[in-house]
Amino acid sequence: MIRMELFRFIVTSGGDEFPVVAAAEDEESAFRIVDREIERSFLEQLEVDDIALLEKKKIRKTGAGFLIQPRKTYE
Amino acid sequence: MAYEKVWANNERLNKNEINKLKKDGLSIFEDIPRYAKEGFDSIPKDQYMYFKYAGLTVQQPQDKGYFMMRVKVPSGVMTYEQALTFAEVGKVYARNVLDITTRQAIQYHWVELEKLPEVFERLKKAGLTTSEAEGDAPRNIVGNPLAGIDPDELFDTRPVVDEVYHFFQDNPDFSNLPRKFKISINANVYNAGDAEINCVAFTPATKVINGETVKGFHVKVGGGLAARPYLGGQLNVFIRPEQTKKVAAAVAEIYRDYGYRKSRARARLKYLVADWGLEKFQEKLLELTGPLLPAGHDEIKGWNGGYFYGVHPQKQPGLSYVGISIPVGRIHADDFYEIARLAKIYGTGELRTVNSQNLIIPNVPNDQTDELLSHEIFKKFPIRPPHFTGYAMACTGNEFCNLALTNTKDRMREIAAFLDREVDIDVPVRINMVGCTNSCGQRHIADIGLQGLKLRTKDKEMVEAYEIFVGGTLSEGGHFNERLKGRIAARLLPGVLKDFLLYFKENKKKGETFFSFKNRAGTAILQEVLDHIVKKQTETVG
Repeated sequence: MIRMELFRFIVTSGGDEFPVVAAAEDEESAFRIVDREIERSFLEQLEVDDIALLEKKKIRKTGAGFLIQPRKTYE
Repeated sequence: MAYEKVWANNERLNKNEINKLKKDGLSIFEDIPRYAKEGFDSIPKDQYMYFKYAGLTVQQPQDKGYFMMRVKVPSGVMTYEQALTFAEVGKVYARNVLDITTRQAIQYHWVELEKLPEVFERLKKAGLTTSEAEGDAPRNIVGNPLAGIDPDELFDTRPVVDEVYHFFQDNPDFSNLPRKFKISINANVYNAGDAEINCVAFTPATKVINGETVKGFHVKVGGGLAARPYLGGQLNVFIRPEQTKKVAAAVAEIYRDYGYRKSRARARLKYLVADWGLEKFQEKLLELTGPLLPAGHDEIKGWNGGYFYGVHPQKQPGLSYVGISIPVGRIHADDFYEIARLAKIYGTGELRTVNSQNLIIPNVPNDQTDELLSHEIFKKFPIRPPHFTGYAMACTGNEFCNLALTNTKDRMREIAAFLDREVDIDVPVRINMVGCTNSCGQRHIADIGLQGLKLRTKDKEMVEAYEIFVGGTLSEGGHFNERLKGRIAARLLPGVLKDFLLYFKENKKKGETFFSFKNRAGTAILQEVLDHIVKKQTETVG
């Protein structure tokens, strides 16, 4: 049985940060999904400074999700 | 007293709630002997959640049949016999290691299913239990580790803790709460019970009643850390110590009957308190308790972070307590036994666990403290630890926790030891490290919080990295630390922290704490300093 997890990333590019969420079997695959989504989402290639995996959770039968909102100072 | 599960017919209950209606968590104790005989594979996966009520979590990876096991130590007070039992259980059943938790409990890893009945028997003989150390139930009561011996306590809280503990323990009226329920009962004026981060906290207070100053408690509700931290708010009530059980029961009853059961992510009491507000919560409380007096005088004078290092006089003349450093709370069973043995020779055998993950030996005659401290064990576990090792805290990390993205305990210990060699400051700096966005290592209230993440750099290198948060405290009602921008690769972290702390050392006033300094300097300045240091370190170290 494949066990999927949901991963929350922050991609940094220049002064910008934006969230990416990926469902994958493991961290390595999740990073690949982030690359794929970045490639297909920008017309001009994005200059990525770094990609940070902040959080992961198991996807159970009831599903899983992340609320994406600007981070508060303590988060 | 039987009660009606008023939520039973709610249409939108989460899966755990539906299960809990069919089977009470505490009934797992009836099943464990059978599972222990038939082996780990005989446990249906849907039964894993019930093990929590027995203080057990299936250890990662889940197919190996090991458990993390937690044992309650209310207010951190343990007898000599209990201390010996803790050491024996660690030695025989848990690969010789004990962890002291941030709720003053004792936690083990690597406990085998087949051995659980034996372990429970040993613990029971010593008057110890794992029951409800986890699960949706009242957890270990946090309190003053110096209760009864503390010159800084308003009164001895041990009888109150004992009464409240026995009231809730295995009480079927409170074994099905929406989530964990954390109680703090403390009369130390330096907030030894970490009031603001508990579901309900009883804090030292006085009130003049009929011309007489009465000692008792104020009550805070709705605190908690985790991914969405919330500081508990104070109700406008004063209660006498003998009213504590009634008020704690009423808060638990409100939580049980009105707490949220639709989503476990929103089930802690803090969400109900945030939605209702303190006024409505208090009205409901008074409906259950009957009239209570309005608040009196708050006796809290500050927050000591739960640190009691060194030799200090007790309130009993001629006796001292000895506060020992246990780095990040981890200790071998042999060492724990040795400390218990010495506590028996020089004190009464009693030990106290502290929510800062340390230990205290109480009741040592003043003229014998030097002899006690001449023993070899205190070189390994000093009473005046270096400022970083002695004030570092860490969650379990990815060694055992599936949520953690990075190592914490080993890395924190290594970094603290490095900082102790490289930086000499006149005040301790509390550094807490966590491996995920939750806050099992209490990252939010640290002077410097370090939160682990996985980072892929510009050069496509995959590294463990940390975000830095500054200026957390539970003084004056509490303040969560604030994130500085930037992510520091693990290999750079020791050097970055060293330079950051040297800046603090060079720019602080004498005796000024990190929290005061951060407030004086401002987060923007600290951000500039960090940026500069990271740039320099990256150029030097790479």
